[in-house]
Amino acid sequence: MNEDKLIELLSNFDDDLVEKEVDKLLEGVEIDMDSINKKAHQKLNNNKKAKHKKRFPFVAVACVCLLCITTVYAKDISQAFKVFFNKTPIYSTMVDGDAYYLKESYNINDDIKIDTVMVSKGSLQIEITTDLSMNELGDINIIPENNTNIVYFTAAYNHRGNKYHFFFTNTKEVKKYNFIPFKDFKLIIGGSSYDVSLEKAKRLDVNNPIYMSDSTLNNIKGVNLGAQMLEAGGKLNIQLITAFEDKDLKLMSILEPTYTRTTMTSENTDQGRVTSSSSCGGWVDIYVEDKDNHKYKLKMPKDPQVYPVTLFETSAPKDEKLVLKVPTITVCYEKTVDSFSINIPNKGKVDLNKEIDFIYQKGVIKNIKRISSTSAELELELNTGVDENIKITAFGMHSPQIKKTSIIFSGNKWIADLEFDENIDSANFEISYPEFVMKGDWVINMNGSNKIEK
Amino acid sequence: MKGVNGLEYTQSALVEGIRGKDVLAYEYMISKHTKTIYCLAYNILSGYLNKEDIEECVSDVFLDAWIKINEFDEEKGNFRTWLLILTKYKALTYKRKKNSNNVVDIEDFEIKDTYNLEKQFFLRQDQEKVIETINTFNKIDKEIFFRRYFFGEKISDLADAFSLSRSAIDNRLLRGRIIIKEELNYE
Repeated sequence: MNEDKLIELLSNFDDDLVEKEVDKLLEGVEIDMDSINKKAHQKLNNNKKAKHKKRFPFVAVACVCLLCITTVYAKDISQAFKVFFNKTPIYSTMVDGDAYYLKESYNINDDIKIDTVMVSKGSLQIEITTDLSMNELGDINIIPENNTNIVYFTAAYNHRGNKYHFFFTNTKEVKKYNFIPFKDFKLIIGGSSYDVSLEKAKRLDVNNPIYMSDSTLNNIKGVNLGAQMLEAGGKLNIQLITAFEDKDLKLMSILEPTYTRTTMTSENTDQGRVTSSSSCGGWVDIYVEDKDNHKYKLKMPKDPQVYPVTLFETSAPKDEKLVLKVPTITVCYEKTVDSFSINIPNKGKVDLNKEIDFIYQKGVIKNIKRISSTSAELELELNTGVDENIKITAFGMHSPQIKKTSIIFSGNKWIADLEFDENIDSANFEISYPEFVMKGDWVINMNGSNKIEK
Repeated sequence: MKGVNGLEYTQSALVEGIRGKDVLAYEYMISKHTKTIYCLAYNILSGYLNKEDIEECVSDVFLDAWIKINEFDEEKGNFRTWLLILTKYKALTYKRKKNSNNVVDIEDFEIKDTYNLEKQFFLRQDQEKVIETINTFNKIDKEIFFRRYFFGEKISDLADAFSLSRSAIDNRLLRGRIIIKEELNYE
């Protein structure tokens, strides 16, 4: 009798026989059946409540993308060349250093198809197609084959139709988006594991000219843009490349999202911290101009495979000198910027006028107002710093004492509704990962005068 | 066993009830399977997590079963074995989260659909004979045997749990299998 046969036999034992044996095995072990029953029902109730809202630890973002960009301020051509030499274009984005990607999409089982996988030192993203729900997909982890001591966790996702786009994090380190690129890995999804193999992506072709923005002309010091002209399917594509002096600044989007009214909620739950933000209304278009000042829009890929998108298609003529204008970019400063404690008044409103330094901008917590025994309202005024070209668009605001924070943005005035337990009279806050729209008005003359060549 | 409402479900009815989001079926699943699930979770997590955390893990398994019920294929195996697969996965996830370094043995995730077994009917008398035989083993061998072949625990984990070498576990399991084979006159 082999092992399989025996497993088969024991697995098919009648319930009463199993129960008797389990009782024997549990002799001396105290089981609180009531407590388990209660917890199981609480979880079921929570699950029902959550059925119609997306739940995910950390951040669920709609138009947001995270990507590590270079650490060098490209002040001159030779320096820029070094920066760009280290870049790797992959799918519709650009990453630093080595990167791996999935060459062809395929079905890992009857329910799930992996469309794209991208891993670089600053980003790990996967896109899948499935009709399964997030709950059915369960915990999703990645374990690199070359380093099985590491487990990467999902940090955020986008969901469009039957497409899920997952962003991963390395919670082991303070710097959450720090990965060791890998070729082969184990994907844990839907309670099963699957081996996946990737291809190494080719570095940026530096034989193809790279055009630089004039670093002395743009409004934002320490942030530079470059561009490469490529041809795909008979059409002109433009690959944008960013270079940041501050290593903690990361590109989130080349195109500026158009917000109408944005809300952001952050909730401490049994599953961890759940944060969500509203979808953006669209994007502010950017253009290239030919010598006759005809403008040609840069089009986003219809279905971006990875973020942030830096590769755009245009109908501009391929062989002409073009001028690319990029008015703004959206970036994230990936650090905690401030932490402080606030007393919550028993009633009425108390002025605070507490300044927050967001590094690239400033803001002020104006006051706090008690709304009810379990809620209060914080009024913030943002963008109080001197640099008019940088505006705060979002930031993380977390407190262990606050159960739920809902922020409504309206221009520079933000209102944060705080929900907490009745006995709370003060709260410690941590402000982190602020996002900014930077109005740099970068101009890249793709006419040869500022060309970088190998 | 009957549920708290006096209802009793066959496996098919229980699965259908959960698929149909019948809370009474959920209640029945808890009352019927808590001990078995607890036993496996306890085996994996005791020494790492406290009683409350093990309870959390067990209650998570029930919620997982509620959510993932459409993944269960009755043709492939029995519901209890499927619950044990979910338990093993959930318990290992808890164990991993407890480990502050996030260091995890890759083999821990090598959980295949082990419930994907030939669904077979074994004569009651054969089942009783096997149980009777296992009960003649000494206490440790019996526990090793049950934890390996019923709960599907890894030999390396059993070796750790009983402070025995891997080969000692292998030998005890082999000895047990030979005895059972002889008792049942199996090939």
